[in-house]
Amino acid sequence: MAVSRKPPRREVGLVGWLRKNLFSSISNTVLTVLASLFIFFALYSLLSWILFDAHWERVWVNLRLFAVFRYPEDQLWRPLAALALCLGLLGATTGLSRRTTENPILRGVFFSFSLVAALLTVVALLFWESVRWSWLLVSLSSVAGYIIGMSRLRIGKLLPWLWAASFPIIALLLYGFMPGEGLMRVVPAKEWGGFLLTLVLTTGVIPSFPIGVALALGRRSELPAIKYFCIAVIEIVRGAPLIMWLFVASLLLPLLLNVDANSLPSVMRAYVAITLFSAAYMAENVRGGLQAVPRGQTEAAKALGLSGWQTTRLIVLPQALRAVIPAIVGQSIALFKDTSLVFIVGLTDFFTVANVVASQTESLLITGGIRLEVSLFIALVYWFVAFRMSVASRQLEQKLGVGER
Amino acid sequence: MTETGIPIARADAPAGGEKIIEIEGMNKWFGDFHVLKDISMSVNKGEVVVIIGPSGSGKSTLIRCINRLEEHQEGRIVVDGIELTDDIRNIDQVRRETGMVFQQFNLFPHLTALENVTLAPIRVRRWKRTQAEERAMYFLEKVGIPEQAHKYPGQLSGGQQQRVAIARALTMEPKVMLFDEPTSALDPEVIGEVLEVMVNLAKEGMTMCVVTHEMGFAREVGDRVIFMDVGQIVEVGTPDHFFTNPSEERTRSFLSKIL
Amino acid sequence: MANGRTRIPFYRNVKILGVLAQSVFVMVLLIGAAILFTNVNSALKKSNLPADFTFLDDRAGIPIAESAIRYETDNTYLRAWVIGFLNTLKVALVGVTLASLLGVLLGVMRLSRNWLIRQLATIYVETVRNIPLAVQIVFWFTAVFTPIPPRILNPIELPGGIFFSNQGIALPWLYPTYRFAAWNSWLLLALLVFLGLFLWRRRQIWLADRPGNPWLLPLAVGLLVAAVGYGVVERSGNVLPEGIAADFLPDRGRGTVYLDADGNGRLGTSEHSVPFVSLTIGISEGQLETTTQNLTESKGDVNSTFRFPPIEEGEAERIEVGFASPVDAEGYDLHFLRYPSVGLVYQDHNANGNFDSGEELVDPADPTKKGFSGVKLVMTVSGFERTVIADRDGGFRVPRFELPGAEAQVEGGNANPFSVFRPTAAPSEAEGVEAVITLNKTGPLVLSRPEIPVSEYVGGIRLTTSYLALLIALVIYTASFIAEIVRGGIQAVPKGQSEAAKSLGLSDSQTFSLVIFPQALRIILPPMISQYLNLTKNSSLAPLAAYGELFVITSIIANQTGASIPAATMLIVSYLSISLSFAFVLNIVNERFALVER
Repeated sequence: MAVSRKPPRREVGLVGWLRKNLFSSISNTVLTVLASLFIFFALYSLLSWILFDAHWERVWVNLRLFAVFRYPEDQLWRPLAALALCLGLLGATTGLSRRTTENPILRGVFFSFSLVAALLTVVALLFWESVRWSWLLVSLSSVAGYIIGMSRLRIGKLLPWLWAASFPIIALLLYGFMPGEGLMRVVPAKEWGGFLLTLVLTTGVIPSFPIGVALALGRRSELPAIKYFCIAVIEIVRGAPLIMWLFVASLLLPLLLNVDANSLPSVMRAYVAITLFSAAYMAENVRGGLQAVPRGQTEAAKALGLSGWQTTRLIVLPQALRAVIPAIVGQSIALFKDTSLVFIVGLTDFFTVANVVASQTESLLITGGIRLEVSLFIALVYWFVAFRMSVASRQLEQKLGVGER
Repeated sequence: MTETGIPIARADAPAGGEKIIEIEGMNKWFGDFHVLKDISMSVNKGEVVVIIGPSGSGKSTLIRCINRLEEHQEGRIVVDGIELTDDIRNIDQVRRETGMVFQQFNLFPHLTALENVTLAPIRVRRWKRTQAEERAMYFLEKVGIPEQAHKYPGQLSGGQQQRVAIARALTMEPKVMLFDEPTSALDPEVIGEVLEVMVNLAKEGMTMCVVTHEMGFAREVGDRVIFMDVGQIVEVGTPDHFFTNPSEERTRSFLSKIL
Repeated sequence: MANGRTRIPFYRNVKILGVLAQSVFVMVLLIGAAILFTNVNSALKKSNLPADFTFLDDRAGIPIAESAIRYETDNTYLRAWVIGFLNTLKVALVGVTLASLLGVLLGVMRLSRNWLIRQLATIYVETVRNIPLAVQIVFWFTAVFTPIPPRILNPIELPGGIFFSNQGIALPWLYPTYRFAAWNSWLLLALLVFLGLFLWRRRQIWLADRPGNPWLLPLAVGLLVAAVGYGVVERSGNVLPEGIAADFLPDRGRGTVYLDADGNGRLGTSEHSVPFVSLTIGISEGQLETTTQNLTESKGDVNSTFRFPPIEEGEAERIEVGFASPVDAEGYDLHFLRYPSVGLVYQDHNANGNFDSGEELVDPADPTKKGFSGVKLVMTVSGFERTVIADRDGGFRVPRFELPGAEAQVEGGNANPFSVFRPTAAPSEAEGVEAVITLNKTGPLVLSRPEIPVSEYVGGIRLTTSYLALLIALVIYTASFIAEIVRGGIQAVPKGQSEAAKSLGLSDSQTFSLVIFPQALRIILPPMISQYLNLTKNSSLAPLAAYGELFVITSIIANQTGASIPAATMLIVSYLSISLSFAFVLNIVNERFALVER
């Protein structure tokens, strides 16, 4: 009689794993040894440089420049309050989504970002006197948001409106609305910079969304004039790199609007260019989603007597947009990375601050300069945000089953 | 006569009835391809007309013309006294009065079964939600799946999906139901449950145009059978005439292949 | 029932509504365009900026560090722009090739059976593609290629005559000479032979009815024909063109090869230079001078280093290096790092004839400071002979010899050519050194090797650190995307395919090359081509590495002339045409590879 036995020892367990994955043949073993040597030396030299040779103090003393550039020191609570609002809303959304399938993904994103906020809060409590309490507010707000979301309070219907309202609130908070030297005084756009500016420019993806949807629908229109106009806009914008559009926008916008070049802040020119650029790519993403909606769907809607606009709004767009959420997240990541190109119009975003810091006299006095240090620092920050979001995007893709059909 | 040598038949409804669909000398082309040739047919109120024919014979295109999912280029189509022209108001009216069931069900995957059914009554007929849901549940019960009302189409079997689709069309209280091969995409063991719903519907006196390969259905409830080939009506008759003694050679060879 | 065609009110007719909507749309567009147009017009009038392309013929005055064709700052804007375009192509073509190689390697690594290799590739991909390209370019340019390469005077020499320094990499390079035209007919013949043989082989394989390689033999024969042609051209016929002459300025150590149209033996303004001519320069007697300099060779050690223009031992019959002043010769000794050009001056305290640490020169004014610059040295050379290749402007350089014992000549002295040589070289007399220049026979191609006669590269091909930084960043960044495409493409081939192939008895490599690869290629190629386009577009980040390509040059033009609208038009049109040509290729590929389906 056949009795099920355990597999041979060499097939399972640690030994089996090692045999299968690292030492399955001679060539494989050689590769393993070479790769280990490479990893060892790379790690050794990198770590010894990071721990002993690098001049991190230049990064440390310039952290405020990296974060907000020349935003006035006594007004620093304002960007932090905006951050608190965002994290609070994200927390509430996460808490509320408990029963949906997307919850683990949202939770992962929220937890990793609020963990960073909590770490920074600890650092702030220890070292940064001027923003100590603001940072505490950020951490508390994220926790409070999550708890409110988890609780049985009925804020589900309210949340989209809160998100929508948060954008003008944040804009007012950051820009200010009172002249003079008061509490909410206006902070001119040229004093903004650093990571704050990078994030503000990344929000260009939000206005680009409706424009992109309109362009995508226009591209599929049966009316040739509208169709070819949309195709032309999308292809021309996508045909040239963003850096060129930023440059062209800063050259042409004053001419096109016939205003003095100085009366249009660079931030606005960059924002317009980024939004339109993103809209063209958004249109292509949405078009992909629209194409994925079977023809039968519109036919069924028409047969039921729905009008063309009702069909688009109630049947086609909801399905198309759901399918392209991962692509849109991906595009937001790309835009987040691409905001680094605004140096070309003279803005000082996170990326450009690195250059500013490296050219300070104190930095130049250090033998060999501190280019390596600042490059690694900003690379790490960009990487963390982009990587965390791309992981979420990939998880969403799997959840939605995009690409499986 | 056409180049195929088969004479074009007319499929007029029996005299005396109240005509609800009238098609006269209708022609349609896809580009250069002549898909429908000189179609003349009519359907009486309460009649069940079954359209059969080999694939590519234009039968699906014909019933898709009746609610203007396809536009015809020549001839007239009148549904319930409304002629289908470029007039957008007429098109909307005709679509409201005809229900359609598709081969691929075409349920909206982002809405539950109940939402699928109530969508058009609320948005097109402007009913109140409660009223719409009440009627929807009535029809869902009628097709035998009231317990699936809150599931999404992806959670239903093919037969269940098609029955929701029928309920969806019925809730609009159409005067005519168009069926475009409603059982072709179904597994053999669930075809029966869909056919049963259709048979009941026919027995209740619904006007129906059915494109199908289910000869049993045609025999049981069909008032008339129309045989189409290469875009034209070849032969028309009662099921009895049709299945026992067809007059056209082309019809005979088709039937011998599928029966 | 409706009787006949009733009239439909226009506001309900679907067709008329469509036309109406489009007309309204076009009207709105036209009005918008008109408003913008008047805005631009009045703005241009106010500011008086150029609005057409006539400025392109003006002198540009833009310095460009590297260009594929001849460029001087006196050239026009148009030519500067063309250089920019060519530089974009240069970085894009090389970048695309290297990125494909690296990307495919990484893609295959991600599918490796070895866990460690797989993880390494994953880490690479996930790191590189989540960091902005701008950050990576700046990293390579400012953190790697600016501080790390040694100065040009102390370059790293790599095998094969390659130099690496803070002025970039210089590589030996093959250039077509004036003899290239004679080779053309041979190349054509080789091509015809190749095609003919290919067709014949293909037919033969078809007749034989079994698989075979129709490429290999024709390719080998074609290459052989080309090689034979090369040899024949090199040995045969009238070697030098009529009227070729060399104009040599010995006090500057440089000269020009040109076509002496008027026969006066001098380079006139209207006479053309001849590029890439090989010539041999012989100098019977001459002397070089140099002064030692403090050079930090490693931490803490400061040496009194001297450096003559590089001369190899074999290039001269006799070489002597000594002190210019007898006083120095008494106290100091010479130690060669590379005989006879590079070395250091020391004091042989222990008299062992060798340089030991602690024997560095000290500053007479401050004995605690090591290193002392200013010791004058002379190198006397007799029977010097060197073969050089003229550059693309016909220019060539040799060390600046002076007459032995003569005083140093006045810098920037009279530029009179002191000797002019006909193909059959004849020595000429003047107040300087005697030099004999012979123009050599060359084949269709000439191998130009880089050298560093003074403090810049001469000969070969030079890749600036700007170019290298941009190229490396683009390659590394794009490769991470290509790796994912390759991995995805191979994984997208259903497992059943390889199982089916194996069950038919195909070997592993046959399974891959006949079944998996053709199917994967179909999936891989289209996104790969759009990555190539991305790389090309991303090369516009060149301002971060100070590389003068299309975008950089055009933006400089816009800033210098204020011609915003023409410059913007030029930029948009050039990038669009690049994108369109990629789209064209993509279409061809898609058509060629489309699955035949019902």
